[in-house]
Amino acid sequence: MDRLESLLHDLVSRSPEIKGAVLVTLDGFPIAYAPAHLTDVERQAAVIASLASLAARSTKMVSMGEPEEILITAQDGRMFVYHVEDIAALGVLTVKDITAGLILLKIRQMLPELMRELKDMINVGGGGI
Amino acid sequence: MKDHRQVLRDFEAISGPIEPYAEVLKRYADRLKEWDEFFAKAFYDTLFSYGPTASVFREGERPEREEALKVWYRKVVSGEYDDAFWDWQFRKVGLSHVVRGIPNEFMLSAMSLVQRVFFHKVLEAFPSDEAVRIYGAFKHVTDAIATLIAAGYMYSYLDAVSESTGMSLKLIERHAILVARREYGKD
Ligand code: HEM
Repeated sequence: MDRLESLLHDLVSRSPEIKGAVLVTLDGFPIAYAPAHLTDVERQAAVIASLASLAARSTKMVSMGEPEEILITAQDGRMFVYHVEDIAALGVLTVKDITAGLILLKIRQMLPELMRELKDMINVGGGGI
Repeated sequence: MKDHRQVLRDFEAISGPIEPYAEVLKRYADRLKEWDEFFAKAFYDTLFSYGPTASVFREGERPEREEALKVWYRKVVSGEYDDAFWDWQFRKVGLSHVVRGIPNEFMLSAMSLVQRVFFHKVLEAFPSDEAVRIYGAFKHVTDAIATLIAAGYMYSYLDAVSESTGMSLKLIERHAILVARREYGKD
């Protein structure tokens, strides 16, 4: 398991409310995800990248700057999407009844490290993801 | 959006250069231009006799459309093509139809009609070996135009989706691949 996957794995395994996390390129390809048995990851990745793009377009249109977080509340759960700078997007699926503040804190605490790992990966890989 | 030069470069690399065919048309241009009237009539008789294409036109628009098609036809058979000619095919002829909501399949079917009408006319007017040469030239040039129209149509849709949603063209392509994989049963 690489560093990115273990970061996501830690997030999911330490918080029973979090059902899954998928880190994707803005072109819609999965970079890392957890848990390992998450299904339909490729299509989820394309949709997460689309949500991140749409949010960025919407907030730009109304001069609100870059979006920090997207929250979708559905009948059976919630979905959070984060722009990881201009490199990637992170989708996090949770149960519906969460103490939102606590979960958000956990995710936000993880983001800087995710960013560092991602940048390292790009540098080691010598270019795009 | 790819520009008309890139689309043409790809067309010529795959299907062959246009210039030799343009030379053939130039030699016969005076005769071929005489058919403009006949050509425009045959074209619009067909489009006006089929509900889905007829409904695109506004009341009283036909004379203007016929004139525009005559100009287009004469220019095509002249064999004189510069950059402005190809840009006109891509932007005006291609995109002016997108503005009117005319789908690509109508455009490509209409180009097939253009080629068929020309084929019959040329067979009537010339000995068969000359007719084959002239038709081959006309077909190659109008195939290049059809390619520009089809590409302009697709790229203008993709650009619209990309511009309005913020999704990159690569991301849209990714969605297309994932859906095609599912439809094609390769998932
Ligand atoms: C090979 C196929 C076709 C060719 C070569 C062609 C050619 C042209 C040309 C040269 C113009 C004038 C563009 C300009 O302003 O310079 C035009 C406009 C137009 N054509 Fe076509 N056409 C084709 C197919 C069709 C079809 C299938 C339809 C309808 C179903 C159609 C409907 C129209 C309409 C409505 C306009 C006016 C667009 C505007 O509002 O400016 N055309 N076409």
